[in-house]
Amino acid sequence: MNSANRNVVELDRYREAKASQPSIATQGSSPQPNWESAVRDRLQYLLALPAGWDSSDAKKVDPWTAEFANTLLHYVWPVDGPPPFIAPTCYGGVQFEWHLPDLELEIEVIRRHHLEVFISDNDSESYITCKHDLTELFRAVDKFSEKYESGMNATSAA
Amino acid sequence: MIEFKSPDFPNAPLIEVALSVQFQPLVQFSSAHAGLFWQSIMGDFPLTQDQPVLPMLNELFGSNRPNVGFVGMGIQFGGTPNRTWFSTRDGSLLIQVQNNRFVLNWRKSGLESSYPRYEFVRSKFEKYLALFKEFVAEQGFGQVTPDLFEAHYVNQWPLEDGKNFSEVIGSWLKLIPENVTSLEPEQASISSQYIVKGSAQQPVGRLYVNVAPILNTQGKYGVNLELICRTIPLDLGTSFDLAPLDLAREKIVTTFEQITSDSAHNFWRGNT
Repeated sequence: MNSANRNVVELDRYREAKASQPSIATQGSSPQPNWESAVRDRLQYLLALPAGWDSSDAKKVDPWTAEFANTLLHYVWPVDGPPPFIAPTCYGGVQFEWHLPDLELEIEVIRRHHLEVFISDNDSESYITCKHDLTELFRAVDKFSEKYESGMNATSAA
Repeated sequence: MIEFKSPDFPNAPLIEVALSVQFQPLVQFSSAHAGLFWQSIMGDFPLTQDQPVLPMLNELFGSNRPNVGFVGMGIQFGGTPNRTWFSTRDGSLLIQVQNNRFVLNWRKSGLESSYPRYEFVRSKFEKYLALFKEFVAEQGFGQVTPDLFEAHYVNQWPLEDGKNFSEVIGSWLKLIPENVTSLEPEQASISSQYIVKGSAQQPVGRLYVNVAPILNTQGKYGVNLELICRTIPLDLGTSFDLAPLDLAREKIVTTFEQITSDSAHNFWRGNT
């Protein structure tokens, strides 16, 4: 097995859990996030990057951090929200980013249960550190979602 | 250790207690290292078995919407990770080791065996965890950094002759009120979860209660009541203060008493 393939992201258990209860009803289960496959593909790509991917001293993306980041996203991000841009960090973590014309949100997953969140709009910007309690992160996500939805509604109306 | 006055049920239907810590994965730890660790405990735990790996647990808090039960993606890193069991000859004590988890179980090993109490199981957990940490340090894997503690209690009691499952959980458990419909009750399974809060009202853990019918190992139908409490470390450093585990046990025992009926308490106290 070559090094690029050593980190294998397995979604089988997740798919099995989702598919284990077939039903004749069509509305009784939670929808899958519309960003799920894009996030999975991007994380798989990042996990295959070698050390020094930045042509310098960057570490390989830590698989446990990537798994946690994926779990985190499922926990905090709306299923119908826009997909994030996902970047590797030099220390083996990953960073989620969303950018609107007047609002940006970044979540850096440094390692499991160690997050740095940055949210900025025209009026203010703030940094938040989160561990297990994500109350502050949810506030930031709600703020972003409101802005995103109002932008979508304005686009639809136009 | 946190002082806690546990309710006394000499005939409690407890058949298994597992105490566990999940830690940041030891990337280089393999089955071969589990075998090496076995050498230090083989005198007490002469039996071994390979088992499938336990999934990584994540307990996150602060959501303002219902948790719909996302199952995280598993990550396989550098080959298939394994879990290894080390058991005493009578099977009453079991150590489970994998690259991110250390577990010690007490299991009821016969009709006559009685629960040796939490303090005993905790002391064994502490003792063998210390040996495991020593081993990890000797192997140059770095320090074991706790990520999550878990206490898991399994209670089982058989159905009395002529009674169905719903009658039993209706009279012994307060989770389902009796006669909520005009239909004849036949079956029920219950899963619920609760947030555990710390002294500053911040979330520090989650308690899961699961009730379901079971066919036990003696071939009898009965009620299976599991209480699982996961608590976060006091800090995310390398401190192995077991206070979160004590808190998990306290919440389990308190909840067990609260969700079971007076008639069940009397029976388990031997007052019937």
